[in-house]
Amino acid sequence: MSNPYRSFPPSAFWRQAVAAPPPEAVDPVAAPRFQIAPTDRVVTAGSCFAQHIARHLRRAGFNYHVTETAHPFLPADLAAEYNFDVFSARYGDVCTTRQLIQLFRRSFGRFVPRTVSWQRPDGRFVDPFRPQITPDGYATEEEMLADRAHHLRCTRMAFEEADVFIFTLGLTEAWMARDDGAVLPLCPGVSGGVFDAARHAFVNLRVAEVVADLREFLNMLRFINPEVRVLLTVSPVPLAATASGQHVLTATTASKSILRAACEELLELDFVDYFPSYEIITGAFSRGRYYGPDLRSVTEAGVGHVMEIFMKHYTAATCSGQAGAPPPRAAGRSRNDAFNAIMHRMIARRSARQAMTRADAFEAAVGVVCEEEALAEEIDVPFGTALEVAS
Amino acid sequence: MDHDTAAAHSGQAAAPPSMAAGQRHADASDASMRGIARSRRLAFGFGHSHLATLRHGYRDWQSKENGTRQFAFRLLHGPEYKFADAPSEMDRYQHIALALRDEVAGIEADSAAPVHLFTCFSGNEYHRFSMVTHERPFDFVVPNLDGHTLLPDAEIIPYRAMYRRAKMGLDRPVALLAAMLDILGRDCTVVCSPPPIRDDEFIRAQAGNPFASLVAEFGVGPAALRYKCWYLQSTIWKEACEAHGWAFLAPPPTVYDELGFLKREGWAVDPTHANRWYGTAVLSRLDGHFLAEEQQNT
Repeated sequence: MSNPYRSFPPSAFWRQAVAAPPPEAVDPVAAPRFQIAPTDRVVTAGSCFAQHIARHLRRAGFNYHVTETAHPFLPADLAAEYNFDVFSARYGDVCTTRQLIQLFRRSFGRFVPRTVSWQRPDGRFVDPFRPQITPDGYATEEEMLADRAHHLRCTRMAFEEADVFIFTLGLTEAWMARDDGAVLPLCPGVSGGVFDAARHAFVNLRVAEVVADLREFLNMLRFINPEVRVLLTVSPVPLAATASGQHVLTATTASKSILRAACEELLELDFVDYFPSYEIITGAFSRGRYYGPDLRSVTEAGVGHVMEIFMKHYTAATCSGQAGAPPPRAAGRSRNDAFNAIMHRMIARRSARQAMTRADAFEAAVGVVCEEEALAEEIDVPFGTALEVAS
Repeated sequence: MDHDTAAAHSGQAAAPPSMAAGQRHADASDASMRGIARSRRLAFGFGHSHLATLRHGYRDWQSKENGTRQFAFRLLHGPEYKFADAPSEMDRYQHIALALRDEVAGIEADSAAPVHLFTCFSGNEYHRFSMVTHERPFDFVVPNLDGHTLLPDAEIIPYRAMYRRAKMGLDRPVALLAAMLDILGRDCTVVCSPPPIRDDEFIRAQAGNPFASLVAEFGVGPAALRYKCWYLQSTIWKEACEAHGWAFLAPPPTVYDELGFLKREGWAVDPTHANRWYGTAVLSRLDGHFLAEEQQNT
């Protein structure tokens, strides 16, 4: 007897596509909409899981596009401490779609939050919109504002210059300023600032709100960068804590379900695709082995599976031979090269120190920056030993 | 860091803190100390190029101050301090320290008077950051340093990052000096390097190698950045002195212009050093510093 299922590929059937294959062979990507060429400038943003994607793209020789690079005077290990090269621009984790859209507006001067800075008990200053971007805060508010201005210029460049923008949706819960709706990546009082219920409100975005945020963001992004392609993915990392009043497990399910549903809605746009990071890590086939002892950190095996599938479907075969190759550079010797060469000969001629390369430091510092972890530290929940992700 | 409060409060650039007031005292003696008369006040300096500035100013200082302090100067890049067989830079400086220790002990034995030790050790590292305009213009905020606005559109390097970067460049000379003073086994006063020159044209015209080609190609760095980098370097040296128990001697207040740069009278022919007028002023300050120590000890 004939029916439509008879013509479907094996990937349409659970037993053949999920239950039967070895876990590492499960491949939930059916039909990618585009591929990423080695020369495509790839910009990433999102929750902490986005850093894994960035790291693997870079290692595989792709043109991971960083617009906010460390000044050449800063050696690689010091630059890594200040979160250079971890994100395309130093925006830190962008966990919610509301934060993403506000970041875009801020970078184009279309939104200036009334919340300016937070001062720590030791007198140093924190940027409320990326509270963990410098390990020791800022010496003065002037310094913070100047660094923020540079950061937003670089963020704008990232949006303008991206050929592919990969956004990892992290969660739906956020804290925002009541006066202007500015969304903060962390609740005030966790990594700076003072929580004040009269000034700060909890928001838990619904599907329609996430969809609306993404639509508006994508409209604006395509307006300034008409050729950009966008890959959405949902972080498999559970919530560190919830302010929703629910159990953190149901809150996580709600959050991830909303984000996943929103992504599905956006697939009506032909320049948008969805990549199933969430499904690869959380799928029953893996029997939970892609999570570390804290049941939150994603193991390197899990990240490896995700990236293997990503590379298989979204990257051109020509990339495979370029692992470890540096990103393309403009031909010729830059002024900075000449400057550094001469200065290096002059002053660092003894060079007893074996300076780490930028890539070395990145690998060394690969412990992923996760703003949400600060919540766990704040409430002192023993999560056990987080897995170190091998380089 | 405590500041020259008068300058800071006036909105001008603050000078690095001094360890002692620049009380002047008379001295007149020759550069060689061997065989000098008893009861002379003695000071022995060793170090690098900025020490030459003091040596150049010594004759003027002698005639001007008519004092009783005698200075000797040992420039460590002289042939007698090559120690070509030393397997490392550290070994070389330890050899130098042994030689200096013997020399100072000989002077003290001859004169039956204590010798004050001082040094002008390295001191030009900051020019790396600020002498030449960088392809990626940068700036940084120095906390509590008034009167310096940020360069428009410059990348901002967080102060702590800049501090740590500058300190990386100073760890080596500080370690070498510490090793030397361990061998010398006596107190030492570290003389701050001279403040930078404000005039871009002078630097453009007078920059020697290796800066000349860089300045010609990229331009002279912003004066305000020169000042900040020097101030930062001086801060790090002062902190190193505090950590090691050495005295730190800032430039005399008389050598600064109204913005904290080196006065025109102190410019040498190259923009990375000061001249003998400056050397004379520093010797007066050193003399006063040592005199205060001597009075305290008696």
